[in-house]
Amino acid sequence: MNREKEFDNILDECLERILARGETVEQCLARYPELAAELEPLLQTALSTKETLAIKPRPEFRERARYQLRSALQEMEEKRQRRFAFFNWQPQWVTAVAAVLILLLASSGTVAAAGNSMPDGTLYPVKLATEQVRLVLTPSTLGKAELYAKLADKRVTEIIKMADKGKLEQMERTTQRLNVQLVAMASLVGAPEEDTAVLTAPAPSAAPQEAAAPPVTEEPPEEEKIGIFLAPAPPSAAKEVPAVAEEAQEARPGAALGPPPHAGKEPPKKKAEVQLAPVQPVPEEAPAIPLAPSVVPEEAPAPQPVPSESAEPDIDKGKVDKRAELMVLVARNAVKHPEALREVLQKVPESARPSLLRAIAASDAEYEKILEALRVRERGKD
Amino acid sequence: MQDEESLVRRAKEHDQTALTQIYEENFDKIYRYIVLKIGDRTEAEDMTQQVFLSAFKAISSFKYKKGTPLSSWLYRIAHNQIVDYLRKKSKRPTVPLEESLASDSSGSSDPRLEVEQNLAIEQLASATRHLTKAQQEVISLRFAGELSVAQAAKVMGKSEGAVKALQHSAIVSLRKLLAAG
Repeated sequence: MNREKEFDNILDECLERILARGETVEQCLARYPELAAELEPLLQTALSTKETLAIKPRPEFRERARYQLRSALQEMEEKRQRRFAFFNWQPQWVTAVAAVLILLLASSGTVAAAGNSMPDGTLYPVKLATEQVRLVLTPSTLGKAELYAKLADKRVTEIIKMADKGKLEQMERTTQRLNVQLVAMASLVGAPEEDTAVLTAPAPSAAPQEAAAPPVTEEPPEEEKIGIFLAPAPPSAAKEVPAVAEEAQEARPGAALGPPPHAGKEPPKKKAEVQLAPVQPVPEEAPAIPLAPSVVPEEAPAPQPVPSESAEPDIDKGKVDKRAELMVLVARNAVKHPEALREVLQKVPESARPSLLRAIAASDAEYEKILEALRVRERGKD
Repeated sequence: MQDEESLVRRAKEHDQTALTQIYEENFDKIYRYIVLKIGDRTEAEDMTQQVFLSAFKAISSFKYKKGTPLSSWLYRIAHNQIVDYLRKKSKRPTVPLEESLASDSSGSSDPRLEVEQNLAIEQLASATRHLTKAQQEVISLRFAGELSVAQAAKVMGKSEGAVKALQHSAIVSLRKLLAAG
């Protein structure tokens, strides 16, 4: 038994030397002359097996495979995005069941405890479900929008906490929730829909891809949307494609901080503006803005003055107050959130940056749209 | 191993560089592993592609364990696809070997060399199919997948000693089978 084990070990050692380190069969046999007769045929068989298997896929197949993989990953990423969006459009019965569960749980204080939970906490799903129920139970559009604004604030706090803890997966999920909630808020207050493409803010694209990239349009090219890493599309075997690893080096997420290379073409202007937009020069005291429209700093998108009490019936006055409060809240978020997210951006590793950049782009763009929509409503009222 | 843990974490976050690295480091090995198991190079190409598609689709659910390489997960996916392929193939009419080899162009510049290479692969794959399942797995992981005994042991859920013994018996049997033609 021991002899067999010893032989197994010696055979394996010789195989390692021959297959991995490039020694010859003879060199190995010279180490174990007493076992040479037994070892030699086995090593020859192993060597010939290895030689037979020294094959590679066809280069044209590799090229095609990279392209196919890139497309498939792109599709997966889009599905993933849609799944998050779906969260807001779940069937009514899910909400109803959640409501019942929450009412049951509330009696034991779970909901209260969940209120402060973070994305890495066990009660976090309860917190999310509670938020959904609150949204469903809030009847007015302005009330819903205000709730969304508060939820967005919570999401940003969670993102900061998760980044501090180094829990990047949870951080990324929270950024996606933030994006979804911002879009939902924007559509509630009647912001135009066509610009929601900003949610798929550009990830860096590899320079060599640009040669084969489609013409630049308002919509980011597919490669940029999710920053898929693989070689460009051309399925022609003749075309020389640089090594994927090299492309990927160029496509490192950190590159998203600068304008994406577009091989002689102008980068999509809208995207670059959104992504690189500086924080609006709102004073430090912005978070402390009192909930009165007249004192909103000038730099922040300012709400219109609220009409005087005597000019409006009570019911309209309530609406106007609500809208003004919402504008202040949104204006404050519009300043606070991108700034806070940019601070987080400095702390996280490169791999976590693309999702943060998307969240920054989304908060820059969506808040602007929401404020614009509120201003339009205000003007309509006037 | 710390590096691999970080690689997996980044891949789970859909980091492009990490996914590229996994793809580039493992593509050829998984391809050879499949070729040896099914003996068809063209089919193996498509299956290899499918392995990576499946893996990347499910990467978020992958749980990294210290000491178990990511490749072991890829080999398990490949193994499952091979089992599925062979099961489906057994229900389909078979193509004569010559016809299969003729259509199995690997794009080499020397057609004669290519045919010889394909014959050698077919012969090896055919001989390997006569080994026990465990022996087949050891040969595939060690010689096609280029895994060390320790890594192969992790993939197979066996001790290193058991894998070394299987390796020995598999080579002895393979030698006899190849000699018998």
